[in-house]
Amino acid sequence: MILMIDDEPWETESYVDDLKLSGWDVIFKSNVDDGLLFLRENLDQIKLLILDIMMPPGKTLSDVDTQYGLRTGVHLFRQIRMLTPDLPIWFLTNVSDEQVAEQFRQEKNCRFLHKEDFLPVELSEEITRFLSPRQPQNG
Amino acid sequence: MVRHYRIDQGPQEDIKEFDMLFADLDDLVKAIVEQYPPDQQPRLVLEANRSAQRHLKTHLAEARRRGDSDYHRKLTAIKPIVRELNRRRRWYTCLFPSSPDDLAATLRWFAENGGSEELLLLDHIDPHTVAADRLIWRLVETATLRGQQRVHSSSPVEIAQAQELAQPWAVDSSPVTFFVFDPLHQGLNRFPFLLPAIIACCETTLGRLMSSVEDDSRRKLIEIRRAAKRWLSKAERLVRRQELRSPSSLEGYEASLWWMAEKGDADDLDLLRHLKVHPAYHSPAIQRLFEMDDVHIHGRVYSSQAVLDREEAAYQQHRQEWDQIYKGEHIAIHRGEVIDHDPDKFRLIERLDQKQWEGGRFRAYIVQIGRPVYVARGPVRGRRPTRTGG
Repeated sequence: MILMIDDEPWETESYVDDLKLSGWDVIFKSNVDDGLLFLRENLDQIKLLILDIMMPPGKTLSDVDTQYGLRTGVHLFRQIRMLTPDLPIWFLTNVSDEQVAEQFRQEKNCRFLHKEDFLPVELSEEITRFLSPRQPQNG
Repeated sequence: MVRHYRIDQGPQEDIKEFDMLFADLDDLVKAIVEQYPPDQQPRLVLEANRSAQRHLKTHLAEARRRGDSDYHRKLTAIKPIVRELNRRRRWYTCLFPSSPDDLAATLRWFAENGGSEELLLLDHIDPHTVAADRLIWRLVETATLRGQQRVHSSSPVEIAQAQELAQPWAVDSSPVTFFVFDPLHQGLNRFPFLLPAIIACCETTLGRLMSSVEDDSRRKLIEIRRAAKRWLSKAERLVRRQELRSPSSLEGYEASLWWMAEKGDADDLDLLRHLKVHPAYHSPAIQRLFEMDDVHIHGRVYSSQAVLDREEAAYQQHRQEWDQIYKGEHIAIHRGEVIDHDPDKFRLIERLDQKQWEGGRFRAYIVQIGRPVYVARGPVRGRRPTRTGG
């Protein structure tokens, strides 16, 4: 199962659709609170977490300085890493700050992808290559 | 109907057709402007954009599934188009958000990726929304600051290009142009609603024109950009002045007063002083805005430094010609023209004072031809001297 947390359903819709068409079981959560709750309850089933960075902080991160939501994903990542240090986490974001990108490129089990560089078909190709070197389940 | 346009049809086979997508979108926006009431236009423009994006993505996904040999070529061709469509969608959302969350998400995107165009749009966000929501206000502030940093940290060439392209207005007689250039007669109330349509429509029109002349003449391209910029500025000034004369709302009135503080000129100052006596809305805040406009415009138009900068530029532009015509004389430059000249500076100043008593205050720039001594002659102050006799 792939979990995607992003606050813009319209932008993410085509990524989810394409992943589903490629045979992946995708769960989409549009806010931090729901996303974290789902992750906690289904941790053993989730193979990959796709995370946005610019999102409303929700209740979970209401006490953290997320820079008005510009860096919510960064703080969420730290919380999730305490839960599960080995879960692959891919950032799919519009953040173009090279410092942020570099920070996550050096993290273990982590990738940083810019939305503009990856159209839905490309992302599902990348994920298929990463999760299943053979054929995807229904594809 | 909108749904009959090619954008909404199934996948296209030929990737050349993607180049036509913006032209299609342009036509579609024009059709929306012509056929639909203003309150429906933003939603329809947004839907057209979404439809275009879906169409491209579906086409690409199918090409991959079919195993098209030129799939990767299509991918490369489509990516920048989707990127541009996505950006435009952000523009529309910024102006016509469906919810505060929607606007916040867009402002976060602006903060992270916005350039000159986004900075321009930030000025058009509904001021009530900004004032009412602290998060939105913070995000507007952050997006403005970061956008400015990004734009100004670019190379001078990039900045110049961005500034030119930040004002993508039409140079032909499209229906949208009518609303921009003739706001006094009709369309004024529709102007804010049409903004996204204007941007989408004019950018493609201007863009097409630019590409068509780019190969032929670089100089002509620059001229077109300059003309477009001038027209935009003129149109905006007309709209603001009209809004102050016959306001459509308190918000529009206030926004125009703010705009005047930033961009108003000497003519606007006259209008503002006239309107200040009988403002359309009465409140201490409105009076403060009038006073702020007066101070800002006065500083910009009449301050010694402003006059020096502006008129010196005019002098440098005509230097060769003026140095020959007025050799050995003092010349007074005002609004880029020589308004008077005399070999005797004091006689010239006396005449300038006289002109001010007769026709209103101004500040002229005095240059002695052949000598690098410049004086800015200030507006006259105090009471007019009492004349006796005659």
